[in-house]
Amino acid sequence: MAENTDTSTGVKRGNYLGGVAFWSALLTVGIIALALGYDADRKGLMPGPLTPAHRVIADCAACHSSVGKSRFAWVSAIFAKADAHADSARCISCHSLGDTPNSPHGLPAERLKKEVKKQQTQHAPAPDVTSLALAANELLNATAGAVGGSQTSIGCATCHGEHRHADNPTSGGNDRTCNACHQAQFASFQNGHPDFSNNPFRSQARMRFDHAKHFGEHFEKARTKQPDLKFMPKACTDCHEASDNGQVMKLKSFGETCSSCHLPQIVGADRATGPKGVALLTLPGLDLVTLRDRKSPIGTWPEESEAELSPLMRVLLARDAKRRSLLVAIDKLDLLNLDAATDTDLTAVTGLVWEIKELLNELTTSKVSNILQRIRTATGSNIAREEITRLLGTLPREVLNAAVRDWLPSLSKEVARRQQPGWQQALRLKTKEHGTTSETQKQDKKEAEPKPQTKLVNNPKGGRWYVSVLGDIVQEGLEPAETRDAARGEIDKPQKVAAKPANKTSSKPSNATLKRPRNEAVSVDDETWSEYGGWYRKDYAVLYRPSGHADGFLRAWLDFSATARVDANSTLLAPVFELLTHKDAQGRCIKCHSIESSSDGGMSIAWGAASPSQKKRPFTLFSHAPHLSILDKQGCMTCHELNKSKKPDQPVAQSGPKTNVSNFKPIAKATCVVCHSSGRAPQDCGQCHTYHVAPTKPPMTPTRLPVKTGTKQ
Amino acid sequence: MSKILMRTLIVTAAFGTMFWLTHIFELRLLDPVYMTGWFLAAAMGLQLMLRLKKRLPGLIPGNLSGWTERHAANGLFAVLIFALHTSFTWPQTGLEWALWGLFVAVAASGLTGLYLVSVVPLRFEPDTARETLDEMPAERARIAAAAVRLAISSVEQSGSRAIVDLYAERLHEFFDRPRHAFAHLQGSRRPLTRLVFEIDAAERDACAGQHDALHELKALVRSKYALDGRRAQELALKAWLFVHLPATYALIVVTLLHVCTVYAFTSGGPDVTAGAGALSAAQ
Repeated sequence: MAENTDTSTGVKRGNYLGGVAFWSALLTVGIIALALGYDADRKGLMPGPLTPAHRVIADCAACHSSVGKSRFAWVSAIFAKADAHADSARCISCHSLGDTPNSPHGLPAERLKKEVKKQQTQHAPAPDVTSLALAANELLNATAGAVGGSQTSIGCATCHGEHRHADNPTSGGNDRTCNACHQAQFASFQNGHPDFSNNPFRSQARMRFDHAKHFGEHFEKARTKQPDLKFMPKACTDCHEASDNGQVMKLKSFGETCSSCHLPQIVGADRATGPKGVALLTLPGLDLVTLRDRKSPIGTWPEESEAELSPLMRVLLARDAKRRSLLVAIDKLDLLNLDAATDTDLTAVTGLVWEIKELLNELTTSKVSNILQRIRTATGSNIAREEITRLLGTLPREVLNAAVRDWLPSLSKEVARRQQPGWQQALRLKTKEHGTTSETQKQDKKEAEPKPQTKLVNNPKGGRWYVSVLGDIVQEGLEPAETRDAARGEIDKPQKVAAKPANKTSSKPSNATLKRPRNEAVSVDDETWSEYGGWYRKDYAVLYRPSGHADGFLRAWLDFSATARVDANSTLLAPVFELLTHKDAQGRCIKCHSIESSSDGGMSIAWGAASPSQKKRPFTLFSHAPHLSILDKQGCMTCHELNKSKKPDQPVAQSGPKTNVSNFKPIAKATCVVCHSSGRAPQDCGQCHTYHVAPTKPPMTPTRLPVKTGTKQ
Repeated sequence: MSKILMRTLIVTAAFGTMFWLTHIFELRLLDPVYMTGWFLAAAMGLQLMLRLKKRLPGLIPGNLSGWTERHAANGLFAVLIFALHTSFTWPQTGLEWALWGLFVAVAASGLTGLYLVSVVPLRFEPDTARETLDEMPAERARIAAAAVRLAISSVEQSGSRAIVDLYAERLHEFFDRPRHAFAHLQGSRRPLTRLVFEIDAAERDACAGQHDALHELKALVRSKYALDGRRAQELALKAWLFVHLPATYALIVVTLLHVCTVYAFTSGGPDVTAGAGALSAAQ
């Protein structure tokens, strides 16, 4: 046996040690060869177990683009050029991450650029070099230039280490990977993270609610005035509750909270003066004396009307540019005093009168879809039929018919006459007896006969039941011809005109002064009768009274006028928006709901309180739920401190959206640092910030419907 | 002492640099595992230089003791990098367990060897002749034969069986084969003291003619105890290598497999040019 000597110890030993080592290595090779031969699915080569969701994947090649499917194909991949993006594409085949999945934050370059500018504006880079590594990185960046170049792509594996984080499948990068890109680098949330700016009130509050005033004044007053009030909050949780996922403290419903005090304001019960409803159709008051003297051919027009042209009606009238110009010309005139009007002005007034008559005639004689077409052409908006349903608030035809019958009994004939030659002469105002009377109307009066009342008769032949213009319920086929025609708007019911008020200037005529063909023993007027909301007629206007909170009609018109007022329609829809957002507007919607800037440059109404969508992935996420159980007696006010000096903005009318100032103090970083600091609650970036913010959709499988055998596909 | 302190400082500084580099790599969206892995491979390669020096002394410059010292310091450094490379976590799969187990076996046997090499030679009696392990059985047999002869001759000279009985009851097993290995590795002399105490006790009852024989017997016990000590220490100095060296060879094989699988299954590694480049492009 050969020997050698270990000089460190002076001990001689045989070279069988080398032999043992050699055989050991050979044995290892053998064991590995056996293991690889036995390990068909190559799990033995994995550096760690797969995350639970990936354990169903049996083939390495499903994720590793460079590895083939056969058992030993991986050997050829040792020297192959790995492609991070080819591998990422395999991740993205299941994990949909939007259109630009590998760009930073999954955002397109333009959006990323915007976000960077926004961050740089809000948080000027102020590196807190408490970390030696950060300092060195800064130094390296400064000396070696930019790390990157032009690439804007990050492979999934840069942050997500599969086989390494089996316990936490979503585990991605850490604070250092965030610092790799962000210019404002800092060691931790506690040390270096920029302070919050006006957190969480960077965007205006969606609901205008003056907490301070309610706590200190309104609740006390309400308690004194109405001791038996159904709802009087005593704690924050009386109005707020945690959302299902615990992320936000959402506002309880209007019915549960505000309604006991604010519902009367919405339905107009506490409105002392003015109409309680919003006028859709009006017959504007005109200076009929001047029009008659100047021989304007306007046909019949009620002299008692002092109404103004409703902004909502203007939308229905402005069908084209010509009519829009007409409305603009009318805006400059005082329709009740046309003494100084030029012939052009009077022509415009005459034009307006006939536009109104044609509109009313069309409304009563044609289908609702015509109104849809009118609004579409007027605003250029491609509004849907569902929207027109809301905009018209299911206006009953009978209310329209009754209004037209009382206001303009010869309407259909006048409109028909206008198509004939010499109509100007025929339709000129001639007399001053009860309102103004045209030649046509005089003729109508002669022809007018009392209509026989129809009776409800069972028709053995069967027929459609309907309500006649006289208010009778009749069956088609059994009614007198006049009744049928009147119901269909084919003849005009003669106007039975009430006596002209003795004192013309005393007041506008009430409904009582207009003809009410049926049910004379009415003890309340239509407006009072409609206390729970709905359509009614008052004087020379057809109005809609809000039915309660979230009234569909008001909401539809507010949404429509807010979104459409940015373009050429601004002159048309702005008055509607102003009417409905005025501080005394019916419904008082804007008393509580903020007006916000919409993405298209227009405005929108914040109908709901803040409620982050589950699908949205904001950069910053805060969840209330984990914090609620650790609060002391101060409760919510541990973080939300009242700032009595600031009050929410008053409701806006014409000026557009404003930043709604909360009367809570912004929450400072220091409040969070009390817990989220070294050695206490976690403070890594991922606690509050999301990396993947791009909207995503789950991938869908193209499943074909099972079809019967032999069916052609 | 200052040399040890210097080496400790160098190893600590090197590890600190590595730790700091991992942070730098992460800050630049680079996966530090690749960097620590190659540093670990380099450190393991450097360890092999000692073996090469022993096998091919002329090829590698420097003296063997210098390489042994470097081997020890670099081994400590490799242990620290290994901890960094594995992120101070336990292995989870078969290949990882094999790597981890072999590395730990190599490191643990190396540290044991380092301890033995630095402690055991100090216990050698400087002036004592140092037999090789192969010579030790003959020496042990010679001492045992001398003890037997001494016991038999004491009966002839004094007519008393006291020494023969002492040998048969208490010393026969001691002289028969190597004894008290564990006590020798501990540096303990308790077994020797006990045997000497028994011989002293027998001397008190012995007749005048037996005193010299007992003194000689005591000297033979001391010689045998010293021989056993040297044998235990020599074996200890040699045994750790029987773990260290085969485990090292096996580790090299498994490491090669590890490197191959890492590069076969890598997802392209980190996107070196992503990070700040993406943002600078956005800006």
